[in-house]
Amino acid sequence: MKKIAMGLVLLIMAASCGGSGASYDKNLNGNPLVLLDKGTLAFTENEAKGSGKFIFLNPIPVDDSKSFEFSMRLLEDNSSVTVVTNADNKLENGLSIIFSREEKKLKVAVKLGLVNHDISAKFTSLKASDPLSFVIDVHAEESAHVLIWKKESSYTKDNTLFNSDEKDSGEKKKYAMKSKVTGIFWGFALNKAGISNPKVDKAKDHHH
Amino acid sequence: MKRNLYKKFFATLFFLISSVLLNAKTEGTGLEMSASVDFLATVNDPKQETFAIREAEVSLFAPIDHRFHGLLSIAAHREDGVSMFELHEAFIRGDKFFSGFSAKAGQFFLGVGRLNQVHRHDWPFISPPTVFKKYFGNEGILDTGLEVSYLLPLPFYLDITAGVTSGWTFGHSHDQGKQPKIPTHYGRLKTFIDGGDAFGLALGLNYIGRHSSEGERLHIFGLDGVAKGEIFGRNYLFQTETWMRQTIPKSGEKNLSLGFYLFPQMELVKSFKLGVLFDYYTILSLENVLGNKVSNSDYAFSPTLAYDASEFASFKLAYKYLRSNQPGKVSEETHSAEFQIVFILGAHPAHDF
Repeated sequence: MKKIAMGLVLLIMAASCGGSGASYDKNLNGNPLVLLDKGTLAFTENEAKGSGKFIFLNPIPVDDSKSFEFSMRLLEDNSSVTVVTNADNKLENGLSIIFSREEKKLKVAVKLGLVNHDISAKFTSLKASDPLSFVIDVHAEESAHVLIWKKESSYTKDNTLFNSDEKDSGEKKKYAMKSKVTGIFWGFALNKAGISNPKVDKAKDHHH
Repeated sequence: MKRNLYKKFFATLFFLISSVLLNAKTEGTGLEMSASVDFLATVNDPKQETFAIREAEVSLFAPIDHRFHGLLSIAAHREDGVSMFELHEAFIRGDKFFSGFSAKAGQFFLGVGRLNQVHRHDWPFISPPTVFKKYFGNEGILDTGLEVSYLLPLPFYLDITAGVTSGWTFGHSHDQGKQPKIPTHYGRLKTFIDGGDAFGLALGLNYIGRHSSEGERLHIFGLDGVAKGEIFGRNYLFQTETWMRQTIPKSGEKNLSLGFYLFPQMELVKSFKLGVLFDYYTILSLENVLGNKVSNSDYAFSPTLAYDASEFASFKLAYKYLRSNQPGKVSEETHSAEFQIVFILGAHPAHDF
């Protein structure tokens, strides 16, 4: 009888523990993260290097516009860094910005839903083999508004490397995103690359 | 650039026409014109220019005939350091169809809540509460459509309002948006309790819905209340709104959030009033990647001193303390101060209670 009672107590205690009991896998720049594809990723306090995919544990409320900053290195030809913002908990259905090194040139693309823009022409001043640092604003408007700066620049519209609101001569947006961001998570997919000091903050471009 | 020139031309033309109309034989037509200017100075708020004309608005309003009256207003707002002119409200309204019934068609602020129905320069405080800003933008939801109201023939005051508007956008947008699957639709039930000199109390129950072109469903529920009266020989105001929003994307998790504000205000001496705005906002559905709930909140506290020189000029001074508790971050605190001057030229249409 005593054993049954003890067993019941232990069962109740185990059942009353909240959540799955799962925890995060690593910490990067003070941000806990979960590995979606460990691959060959190696972590230090502020850097992740290799190939693999991870998502940060904590959500970023979707109705706030945010800025995402990080430094990166494309370690060899055909390497890439994909930063995914405003995604679901599988790091899908978000806004993706893909930085890749192809024949020593820096290629950049931005994707949201069915929209896919090659914006490499905006980054010709940068070398793919150099360490690169970016700040990316993602504004949660009816049609997502994306701005990209070099980290060391001042964060005004005139200083952007890329602004999705840029208009052509006919006053039409060249890089319209056409849909809203809906997810609340962000993370990275690396292919033979490294990223360091990732950080999310309030949007740099304050308007309205 | 071309678009801004076009807007400046339109604004200039509007002013010229307005002047001509006023100088012409408008006597007896009831045509009135008013202009309001909202000047704002802020200290220690990185999101705001230190000194700026936040808004300048010009309105024309008049009876159209024995059944209808109309309003046309144009406003300039600061955006990215540039004044952007835009059509604000343009509507025709009639309340002579049958007793208790009125209808409005055109572009207007949706008839929901309290702040959304009052022009920003007439608010009893300077800046929008967090929940209002997140759900309705800095100024409120403005759209084009049709709204009807009916004062029910009951022994107590009960008014029902319903509207449908285009819904191509909802809140702030830089483009014209897309046709929604179901346009913006809303309803409001309002009652009024007359307590004589002691108090007048207006209460409202609100709903707004929309189904966007991308399949996101939006539902907003709200309660609003305004009490005004006199206590110990001094006028007081108590204003509050509570809103809850649910968004259901086509794919992904539902988002449920809640916010409210309270604003008690008391007259100190003639023309001077002191009020305190307290507002709170939280996302109820926020979870981390592992599906565990995460606590989060934004709350602000803003004492506001107002001086009403007359019904045409007012001055407000406010201090704002904002604390933001977000998952995985150290709590952020900001302190700022604001000074506002509002002046009105001409006769401004009266707002309800």
